Parts: sequence; structure tokens; C-alpha cells
Amino acid sequence: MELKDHSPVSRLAFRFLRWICPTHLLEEIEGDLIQKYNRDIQSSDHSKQSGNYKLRRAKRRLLWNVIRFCRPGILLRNKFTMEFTGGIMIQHYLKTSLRVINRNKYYSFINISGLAVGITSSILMLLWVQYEYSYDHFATNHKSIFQAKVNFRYNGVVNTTEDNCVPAYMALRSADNRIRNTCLTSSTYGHSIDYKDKRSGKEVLAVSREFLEMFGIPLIKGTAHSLDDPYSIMLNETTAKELFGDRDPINQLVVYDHVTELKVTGVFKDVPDNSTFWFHALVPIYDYAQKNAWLLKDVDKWDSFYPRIYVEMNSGAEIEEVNARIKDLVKKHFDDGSNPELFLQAMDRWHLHNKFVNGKEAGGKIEYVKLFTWIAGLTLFIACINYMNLATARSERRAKETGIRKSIGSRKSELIQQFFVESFFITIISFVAGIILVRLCLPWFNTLVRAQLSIDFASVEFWFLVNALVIITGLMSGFYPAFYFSSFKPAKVLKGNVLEGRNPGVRKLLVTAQYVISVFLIIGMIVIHEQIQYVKSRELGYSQQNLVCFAFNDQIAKNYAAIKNELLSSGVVEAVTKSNEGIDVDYFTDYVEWDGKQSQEKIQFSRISTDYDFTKTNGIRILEGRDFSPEFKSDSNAVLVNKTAVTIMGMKNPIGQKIKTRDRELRIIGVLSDVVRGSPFDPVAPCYIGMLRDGNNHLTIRLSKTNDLTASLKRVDAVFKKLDPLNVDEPQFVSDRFTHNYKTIDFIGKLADLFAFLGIFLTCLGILGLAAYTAEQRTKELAIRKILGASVGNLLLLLNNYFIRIAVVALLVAAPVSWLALNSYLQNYSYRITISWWVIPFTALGILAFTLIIVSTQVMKAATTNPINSLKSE
Amino acid sequence: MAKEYLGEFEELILTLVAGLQEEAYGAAISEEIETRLKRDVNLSAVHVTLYRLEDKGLIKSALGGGTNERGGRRKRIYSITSAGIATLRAIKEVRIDLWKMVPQLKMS
Repeated sequence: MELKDHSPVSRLAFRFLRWICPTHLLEEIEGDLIQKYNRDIQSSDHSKQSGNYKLRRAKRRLLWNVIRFCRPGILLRNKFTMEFTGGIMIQHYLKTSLRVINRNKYYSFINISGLAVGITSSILMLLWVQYEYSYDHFATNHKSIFQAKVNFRYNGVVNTTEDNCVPAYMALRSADNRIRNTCLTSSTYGHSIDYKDKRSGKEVLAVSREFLEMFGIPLIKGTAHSLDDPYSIMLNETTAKELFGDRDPINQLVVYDHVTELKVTGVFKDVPDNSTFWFHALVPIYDYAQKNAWLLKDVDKWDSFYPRIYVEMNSGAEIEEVNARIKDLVKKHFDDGSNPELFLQAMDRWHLHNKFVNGKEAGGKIEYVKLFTWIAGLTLFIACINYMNLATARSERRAKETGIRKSIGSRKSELIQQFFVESFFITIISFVAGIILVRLCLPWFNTLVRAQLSIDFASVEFWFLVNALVIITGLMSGFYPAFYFSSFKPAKVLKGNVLEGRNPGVRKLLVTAQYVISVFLIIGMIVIHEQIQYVKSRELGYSQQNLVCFAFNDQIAKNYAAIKNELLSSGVVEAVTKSNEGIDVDYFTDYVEWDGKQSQEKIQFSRISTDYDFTKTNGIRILEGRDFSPEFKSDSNAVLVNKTAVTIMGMKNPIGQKIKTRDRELRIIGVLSDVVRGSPFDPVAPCYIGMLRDGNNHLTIRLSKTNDLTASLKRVDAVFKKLDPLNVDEPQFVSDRFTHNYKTIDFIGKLADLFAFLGIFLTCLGILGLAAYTAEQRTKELAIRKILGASVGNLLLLLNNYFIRIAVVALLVAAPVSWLALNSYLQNYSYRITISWWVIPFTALGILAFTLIIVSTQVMKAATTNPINSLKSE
Repeated sequence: MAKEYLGEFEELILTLVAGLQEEAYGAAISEEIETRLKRDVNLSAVHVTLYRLEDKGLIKSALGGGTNERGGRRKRIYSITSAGIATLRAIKEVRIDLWKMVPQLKMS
């Protein structure tokens, strides 16, 4: 009886078996399989099942059993036929590679360490890039979420803001049928959340009821409707733990901002660091509205911009078309030329494409991501060139090997294979070393980029990445040696006719390329470094030293005068003031009119509302006129402006002139020096400072110079505790906040240094290997030259010549290109350096000096040995 | 004990080859394991282990007769060699020795 089943699948299975299985084992295995199959059909264990079911089950099992025979224990039992010699040869190639590595430990070390460093830097960069791209993936619906942003036209430029107006929230919903839902939120603010005697200050986001479902916030407790009750609050996991420990927080009452009782209705997963949105707790915006009457008041106010609006789109909606339809939604309510145009930006682009110029996305962090991806690629490329150079430089030794291999029957393709195996072998070793290095560097790198990067060894993506890198590196570094060696003519090579670099042009080109890249890296990194230093050392216009700032609550607002006195008499405080914002941030703006204003366009000024002692506390210089003073009763209508404002208004004698703001007319009493608020990369905005009684809920304190700031802070804290025992707000050093807000500056600066160093290091390694090799190869020549009367100096000159010429050519190519590229890069910053004249000569000298030193040390060895020693061996 | 250590599965198969005698071939052994040990085992695993044991010289094989049920294919019948018996015995003795070290529970 044959197998009863003749279905194509079973036939195919047997054919597969015949193909993988050694012939001497085939018969019994087939027999066993058929026997099993037949017994499966007849089995009585599932008598309830129909015959049909059994047949199908038997077939399934047969197929599975056949597939399982595809295992090494069976496959490797095949008598090796021609196809399998490949396997043996690969083993042989690996053995040869190992021997090559062993024989030239010095070069192998240079080679492997160079590659390992290149690989380490590219893995680190890729981890960072991956992290940057993973931003905002916390919300499960991130792909279909968009933020509605607005383009305003001020002073002739288009500014983009995420502040929106309340009526747009409803209007957007009905504007286009591809918009599924809209959601309204506040921006995140610090609030206090207390439970019994436990107090905490947390970042809270007020949201409309669509929020939870729309974003798909991962919930631990509660439902998407947990915020429907206006007096509810949802906490993140950490806050819930902090306040309630292991108890169930649901339905517990917490005190919000010392006044309102809110019921905890849910717990959500902590928002991870890589998130544009960041909050510890969510409250319904309706409650927010009741406490902040303006939100209710503004339901049909089109010209009051502050909440954020998010939109959920149907999948597959063409965002361009939707943008075209919603563009005029807000604009039609405006006739003042500010021309606000709505548009949507995808959640996946919030983080990396956060810069807008003229109402269009204009990069942002993505520029750095791209820049450093390129640089990491270049570093890896330099490392690969190192490999190629060192591999081909040893050609004399390998040429004979190739010749013999060819004469005993190696085909060209097999030789190519051999050299690729070698390059992959070394690449893999370097990768192992690289991954170990990455593990070691990660903690340091994490503090550098201020992120929690880690290698996820279990992730498919990671291994995919590693494999891709191995293949790219292996191919890139193995390609040239493989084709170079395999093209040797055996007869010539074996006669000893080696043609050192039968193709020296290519190698020269490679070394030149390496030089070009490193010149580029060095010049680029010096310029970036300079730019960063320039921005970091920018005159900020105020003094950050010992300056402390924080937001305070109503309790302190009531007692401001008392607190100020108390603080000043505490002995650790030099000056105190209050204002609508800290000096280092620029949130409030206003349109300003003045006599003799030329253009019709609205001009936007920064608006600082403050009290006495603002300039004194912040350390701002008064250029003209005077500060506010209690001696002048009229100072409630007085205003200070900065220098930029004076320039923009074109006033010759600003003191005494009047400006008109949105709510009053103010008289200029003084001009202040410019203060950098906001990004230090940007120009200073015009600004006016008045005693305006806006919501002056930020306290700025200048601590006296002391060695023990912590003690001073304790004293300050004690004062607050006395007058407001509930207060939990932590005072923040302005300098810390500044560093935190502009951490990219620091980070980019340090990365630039790092890569400049890596570029130099790898190039040096390359020159070192090549110089050492050249010196060794020409030992005899040098000895003979010496006998004939050449001095050590002559010999040094001879060998240096080769490298110096290459370096000079590289400089000639790289310097102008990098100059141009960097100039256009610097255009991205409005506060920027002009490239110093010395950068290029400095780089050139540096490169030449390095080359000279490295080559000379290597040549010295060969040049100073006694010629007898080098010549007698044969 | 032999220098070659045996894995748990190898030991199991070796014992079965010794026990099944004339009926010791791939499919029968796997069936035996399934019915007696209630343990799912893949046919290929059994085969590979048999080959490995043969390589180690613990069992030997010869082709036997074919049946209709097997589509006429012959069986490869395995039998244990004296080295195999020695190994099995050594394993058993070591086990018993070790078992004696375990404090025995007294059934009151």
C-alpha cells in the first residue's frame, strides 16, 4: 500500500524530504512517516471526530513532521556533494582569517579597534535617532492625531503658535467630514494635589471629555469616561503610589490647589520622557472653566488665543485637503491683517518638526537628527576605509597566497568569497567589541543626551539594525580588497613581480577620501563648537547668578508685601520682585502703537508686568532714564522699554514719549539694555515693562553671594512655610531652568566635540597603520639608501612626502566645500558667528602636524636601524 | 562510566532500544514514548537521536522488512551494543548511588 494520499501538498512534502534527506536514511524515514500517517487516520482516540477530521489532522501532522526533519542532525548527515564544498570552504576561510589576524596582531588591532569605534559611534547615534523618532508614541492613537496650529502675520512675518481659540474647537468638528473628533486642553501648569497630610506639586493638564478616548491614553484604572464628572481627577501611576501607597485611589478625595476637592476616578500609565505632552494628572476642563471664568466667557470669542486644540482624523484622510478646507475657519472673524490661518500638524511630527518659518514646517530637531546620522555614517565610512587601506597595503604578502590558490584551482569567485568572509569575520569581531563598548558608554551617553537609551537585546528591530550594519560594513570594507586581490595574475605574482599596489591610484584615492572626510569633520565641528560657545556666552542682559524664580499661589499673592519684607530682612536675600513670568521666559505679548508709527502693520512686543525692584533683582542695566520708584506716584502709567523696542519704534529721544498698549497709554521713563528671553539662538524681541498688575504670580529672588546656597534656600523656604504652610512649590534657579530649557545647546556642543575627536582618532589610526606598513615594506630600500649616504632626515622626508601630498590635496578639496556648507548651515541661526579666519589654517596645520608626527615616528624605527640588520635576512 | 555523557532524551531512547528489541525502529519508539510517557515527541527528534547514538557506538542497526502500512518501505531496526548496555548500567548504578545519599522518608 502506498501512501493513500496523493494530494499535491503531501507529494510536495515528500519531495522536500527527498531533497534534504541523505539517501541512505530516506527509506526508513519515509516508512516511519507513512506508518505514522496511517495510524493517525485509523486512531480511535477521538472516536467522536469524523473521518474527515482525522484525515485532515493526519495530513497536517505529516506535513509538520516532514518540516521538522529539516534540522542539522539530518541535514549534516548528507554526504558532501559539490553544493556543500562551499560549507567546508567557508570553514577554511574562517581559519585563514583567524591566522591572518594572528599573524599581524598590530594591524589587526588597529583594524578591529578602528571599526569597533566607528561601529560604537554609529550604534549610539542610531539608538539616539530611534529614541527621537519614538517621541509621542505613548498615545496609542498617535498616527491619527493632529494638533491645530495657527499662523499669524505680525510685523510682516508669519508666526506659528499652538495657542488656539475656544470657538475653533466646535467649528473644526463640523468643518470637514474627515475630522472624526476634536479635543480642547489647557497647557500644562503646576498645581498642588494633596491627600490628607501628603502634599505634592504636579504638572496638570485640563482636558475636554474627548481626550482620553481620542489619544488612547493607556489606563490602569478607570474608563474613557472617567473625566465626565466635573469634579474628577485622574492621576498617573507614580502620583497615585505617592499619595495612596498600595491603597485603591479610586473614589478618594484629593484637595486641588488647597481649595477644591476632586474625586480620583482613574489611574493612567506614566507618560514617558520621550513625549511632547507631559503631565502627572488630568482634570476636566469644565472644572477648569468654572474656576477660570475666562474659558466660559470665551466660548464665542474668536480673538482670545490660549487653549490647545487637537483633532482626530479618519484613517487615510488626505491632510493637505483638510488643511485647505479649514484654513479660513478663524480668519473670517478677523479683519486686522493678522490673517490667522489654521492648519493641522501630525502628532508624529510635533517633536522633530517643531520649527516654523513663514507658516511652514522648517525642520527643528530633525536637523540635528539628520546631521548626526550623516556624521555617524561618515565615521563608519572612515573606519571602513581604514580597513580597505590596511588590507590592500598588505598586498605583497597576500599576493603570493592568492597566486598559489589560483594555480591550484581557485576560481576568481571563490577568492572574492574568501576576502569577503575575511572582512565579515573582522566586522563581526568589531561588532562584538562595539556592542560591549556601547554598553560601557551608554550611561555616559545618556547623561550627554539626557535620555534613557538602552539596548533592547530582545527586540527584532535591534537585531535587524545590527545585521544591516554588519552587512553594510562588511560589504563596504570587503569590496575593494576582494576585487583587488582576486584579480592578481598568478604567474606574475609567483615570480615575485609584485606590483606594490598594482592599482596604487585607488588606494591614494581612499586615503585622500579619508583625509577629506576628517578635514570636513574637524572644520565642521570646530565651527559648531564655536557657534555653541558663542550662544552660550551670549550676553543675556541679566545676571543668572543666585537668581531664583518660582510661581506662587493666591496665599502668597495676598501676603506679598509681608513676604518681601520678611525675605529682605532674612539676611540671605538681596532683592525681591514679582512679575507675570520669570525673566528667562517670554510668554506674554501685546500689540503696541506709538506716535509717528510708519507702517499699518501691527507690531508685537513682549509684555512684562511687574512691581518695584524688577531691574534691581534681575540685574538689568538701565541705559537711559530711571527705574520705577515709589517716590513717583505717576509710575503706574510709566513704562520701561528695551533697546530693541527703541530701535524698532525709531525714537531719537524715547524718554517721555507715549506708547499705546492693548489696555492703556504709558509714558516711557527709561530704556533698558536688551535681555535674552527665550531661545539664545534667536534675536531679542522688542519689550515693554510696566507696573501693570496682570497676574503677577511669579516671584524672583536674588540671593546674596554666599558659599552655601542650600542654607540660603532653606531660610527662604522657612519664610514661605511661615506665611503659607501649604506651599509646596520648589524654588528653581533660573540658571538651572535655562540649562534645562536649552539643553540641546549643550548636547549638540558636546556631540560635536565627540565626533571631531572620533574623526581625528580614526584618521590617525589609518595614517598610523599605513605609515607603519610602508616603513616596514620599504625597510630594505631605506637600508640601501642609508648605505649610499642618505641621512635619517632624507629618509623621513622621502616617506613623509607621500602622506603630506595626499593631505594637501585633501585640504584643497575639503576646505572650500566645508566653508560653503557651514556658512549655509549657520544661516539657520539668527544669532550666529561668522566663521573665523583661523579655522581652516588651524585645521590644515593640525592635520599636517599629526601626519608628520605619526609618519615620522613610524619611519624613525626603520630609518635608525642598522642597515646590516635589515639587509642580511633573506 | 563512558566518557561520553548521555542527555536525558538520549538515555530514554537507548533504554527503549534495549527494551523493544526486535521492534526498535523510529516510529515504534516514538509511539512508545507517546503512550507510555504521555510525552509529545517529534519523529525527527527520535531519528536524529538514534543516529547520534549509533555514531557513539551505543547501538547498531540493520534494515528489516517492510510492511504494507509503511508503503513497502523497510524499517531500520536498532539493537543495543555491549558498549550501550555498559553505559546504561553505569548510569543506573550512579543513579542508585546518588539516590542513597537522599535521606529517605520513613513511612510511619
